[in-house]
Amino acid sequence: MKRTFHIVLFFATLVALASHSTAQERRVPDSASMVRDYSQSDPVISHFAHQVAAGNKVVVRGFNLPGDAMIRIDGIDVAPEIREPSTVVFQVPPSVQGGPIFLRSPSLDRPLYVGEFTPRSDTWQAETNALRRRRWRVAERAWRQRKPNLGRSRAQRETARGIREDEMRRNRAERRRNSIAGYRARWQTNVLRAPEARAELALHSRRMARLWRMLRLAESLGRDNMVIRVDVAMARERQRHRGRMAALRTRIATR
Amino acid sequence: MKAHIALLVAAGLVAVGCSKNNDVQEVSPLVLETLDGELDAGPDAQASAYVGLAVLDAGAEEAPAPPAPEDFEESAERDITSDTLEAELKVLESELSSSVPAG
Repeated sequence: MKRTFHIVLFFATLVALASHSTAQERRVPDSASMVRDYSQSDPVISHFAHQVAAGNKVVVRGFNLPGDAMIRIDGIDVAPEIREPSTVVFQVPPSVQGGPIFLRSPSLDRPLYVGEFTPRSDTWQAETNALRRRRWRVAERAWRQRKPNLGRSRAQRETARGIREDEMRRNRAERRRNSIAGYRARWQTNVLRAPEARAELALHSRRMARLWRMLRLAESLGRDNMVIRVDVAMARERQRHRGRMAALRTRIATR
Repeated sequence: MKAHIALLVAAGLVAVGCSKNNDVQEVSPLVLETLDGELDAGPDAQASAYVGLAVLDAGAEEAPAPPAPEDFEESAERDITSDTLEAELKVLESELSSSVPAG
């Protein structure tokens, strides 16, 4: 009798532990359905062409942008010419000389902050072209210096990439903790809590992870032009992210 | 006999307690990978997934862990290969462009 009871007790404990792990597994589909609903409706602003002359068109890039989006620039409502999930294009009214841009829609709880519009200076085009050339030169020079340190043959470089990526997989959790600690040290809690700032951090994180992967691949394949293009894209993305986070921090602090 | 019943009840309570005390504070890459298969909102659905989970976690006292590049490394490795490299780079270059789309 006593032995039978011990056996029953043993299996009851197993069932209890199994129900614990099942409860953990159940959370994944539950979260997934909520996340899926949220991701379908939540718009994310990536960046916009902020230096445009009055009367010209402004391009807003992002994701999940509403199809009925309206723009408010410096207090004036403007109907966009193009409304796509990833692009909204509108014309700056001639009277506007600068000010905040918001994206509005009945489907949004509150207007989505796009950024500060500043009229294009006379030297804007020349400055942009110079920056583009400078970025290319810097990336080209960096690649020239890096290249001799990689293997001579493609097979050697690919082996080195494999070893590097294995190592990255092994220490991913630790690197992730360091990244998060860095964000926490850099951004205040109210910024890290704000959905638009988290959206921006997620967007930037995803892009950088993809760009690093592209860089490793392009380097191991020995595709010089692509290595430089990826490096330039990284520089642009970093600059975009810095600008976006600075704008969001100001906006979050003042609301 | 009573001791056995008490032990059984205690085991049950511990199991229930454990299952209720697991609010998502940080999203593990493993969970993200599972979610990724179910999302259908576009190229940056994974990024949006993090925002969604942040909302689920809005009750936490400290701001929930922000998304980090490491969370997206596994999907980057899966999606970007030597065959898709050029196409993926073009997509990103296009996303970073501020020029008026053609047409």
